[in-house]
Amino acid sequence: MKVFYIAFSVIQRNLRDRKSLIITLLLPIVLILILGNALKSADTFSENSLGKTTVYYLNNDNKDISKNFDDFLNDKEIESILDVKKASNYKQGTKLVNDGKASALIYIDKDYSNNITKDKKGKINIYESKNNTVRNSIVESIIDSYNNGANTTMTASKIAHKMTQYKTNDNINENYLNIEGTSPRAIDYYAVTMLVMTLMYGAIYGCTELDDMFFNNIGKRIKTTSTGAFQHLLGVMLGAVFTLLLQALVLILFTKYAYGVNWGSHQFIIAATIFALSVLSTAIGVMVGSVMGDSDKASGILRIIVPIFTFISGGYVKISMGDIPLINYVPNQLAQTSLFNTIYGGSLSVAGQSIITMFIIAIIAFVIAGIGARRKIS
Amino acid sequence: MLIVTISLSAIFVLYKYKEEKQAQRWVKNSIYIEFIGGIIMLLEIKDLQKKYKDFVAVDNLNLKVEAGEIYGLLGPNGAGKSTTINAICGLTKVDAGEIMVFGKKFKQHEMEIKKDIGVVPQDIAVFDELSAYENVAFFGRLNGLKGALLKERVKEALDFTGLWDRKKDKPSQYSGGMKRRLNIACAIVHRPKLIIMDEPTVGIDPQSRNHILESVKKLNEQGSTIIYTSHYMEEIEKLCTRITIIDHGKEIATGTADELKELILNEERVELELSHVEDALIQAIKSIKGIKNCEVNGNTIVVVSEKNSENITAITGKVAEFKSKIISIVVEKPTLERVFLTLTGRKLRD
Repeated sequence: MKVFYIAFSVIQRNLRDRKSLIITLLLPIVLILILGNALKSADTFSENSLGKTTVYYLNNDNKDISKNFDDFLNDKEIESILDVKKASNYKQGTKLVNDGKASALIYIDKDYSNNITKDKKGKINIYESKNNTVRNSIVESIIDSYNNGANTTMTASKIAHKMTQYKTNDNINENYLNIEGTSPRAIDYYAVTMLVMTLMYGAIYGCTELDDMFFNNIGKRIKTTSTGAFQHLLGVMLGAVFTLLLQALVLILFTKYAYGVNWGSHQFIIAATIFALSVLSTAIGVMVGSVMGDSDKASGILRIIVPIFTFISGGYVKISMGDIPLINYVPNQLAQTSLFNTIYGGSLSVAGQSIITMFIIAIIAFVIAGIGARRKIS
Repeated sequence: MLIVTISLSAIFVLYKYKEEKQAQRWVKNSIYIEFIGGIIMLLEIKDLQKKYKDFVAVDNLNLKVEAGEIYGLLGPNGAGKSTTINAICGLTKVDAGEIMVFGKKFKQHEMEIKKDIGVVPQDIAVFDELSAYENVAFFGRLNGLKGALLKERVKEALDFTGLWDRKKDKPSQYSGGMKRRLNIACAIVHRPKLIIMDEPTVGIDPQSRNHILESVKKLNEQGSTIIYTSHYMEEIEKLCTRITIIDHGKEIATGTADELKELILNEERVELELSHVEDALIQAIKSIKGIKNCEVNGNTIVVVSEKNSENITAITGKVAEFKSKIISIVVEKPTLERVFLTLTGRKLRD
């Protein structure tokens, strides 16, 4: 119970520090509004404004039915969205995607036409990069559109007992252009990135709470009571994490009802992501605080690091940082990958992996913090 | 004769009864009992040593605090008082030595022992964002209180420190003295058997200081044993039943205030302000039997004599002989400050 008494006191303190609380919440609310509306007018977040999405294409079937898909990809509407390049084999295609040279590999296996002829499932496979949810959703939407159109045509041909040639039609165009709800608007995008940034600024809580509640006067006083060191530390950390969770809840509810931001329908995964990021950001704060040994210096460093993390993970403006694998482990990037995949119908397993990665990094940060704290106590 | 005998017997019985009750109260309030020559020991420190790199903060310190005492630790800043206190509270790991509290080894029974200790830290350690009530309740909860008992004890602690009427106020709305009292309330909410007060009156007004000193006495009367550190000698002298003087981490002397003063009673000091001073007069005073020294500072002379030399008449006689007038005369009584200066060679506030 002592853990919760300490955690509750931390939350009480943070919530009563109205000045800091208002600034912490007001900053993202204003930024979401400004960035969301400013970039909406520039049409930054339409599928066309992203520029062409590069995909590699491999057709191992090369029969009539699959050639329909070749024609579909060569349609001028599709060409304005996708930059389709030929891959010589599957291995080369996947390597190019892994190397960041393309967003996805679309490939058709050799049995595709046979399967469809025999009324079996014919698959158009996508091997996609985990790093760009928005471009993935465009590629997936286009293939969905083709499949919907092709299925309609095939069904119609069976009913009419005659062969019909598949053509790109309105039905297809309608599907791939209608990406509302599966692709973020500017305000949706910034609601996520600013939420992530706010939680990352929460690292400062981790750092100052550690100082105030563990090392300084009140912390020392708590140590004179019959409260174990682990209970004490856990209470402080939980308090900081729950303060962040409350802030996140306020931001999500506000942006949902005031700005109409789409937060998707997977509340549990969204909550898990926010919890993981809150733990990670607190751990980073604790680590920096412990290593620096001075909460003022540590806070100063965090105030520099957090905007850098936000920037390189595209929090302010979508930027391409090229093929730097380390960027995928930036906390903001991890959280954003998880949130975008969850909200916009991406891969939930990718979201899960991001959440697990955040917890692993948090544990590493706590271990480093422990070493730093031991040094400070001794 | 019979009446006198009965009266004396009654007084003796009453005295013994009172003494026994007092001992029982201490025993009742102490989870520990160890008799050393009939004395109940609450805290015992043996050969305590603590170094910070090359700096020796505590050097083979030995202390024994009896149940029911107000035990004073006297020493200048950096003498090792706070390090000793921190070691007793478990805030500092010691390099060597043993601490026994309530008859139990501190290392092995730390959590159990801490339940019955209340610490009033030197720096005010309360939450600025929480009200006085919430602050006291928080530390009450950490010390195992809950429910109705918690409410009762919080009220008791705030009443005791005179803050109940301002219980909803935050410390930022308090004066320095009130903050100090809140600092005490947080330490006594769980009715600890041993209260450690580290300079609890630093930087406050005389009224609040008196309130705190009275509170310390009351707490002691209610059965708590108190360890009190300060560098205000008048406080230590007024409050403490026994005192240990610490300097450079070492125990210099231990005893009651009177016992400590006895240590320097081998000399007497008289300070005289004269109309004029001449060398011949100084030489004449120095020639008086029992005079150890005579210092001159302008028209003021300080004469140090051997104990019980009773030579004030002779000194004033010499002054008259040299046609000088006495403007003022002060016969210095030994103080703890003087004891400290004599024993350590430096002033308490150095």
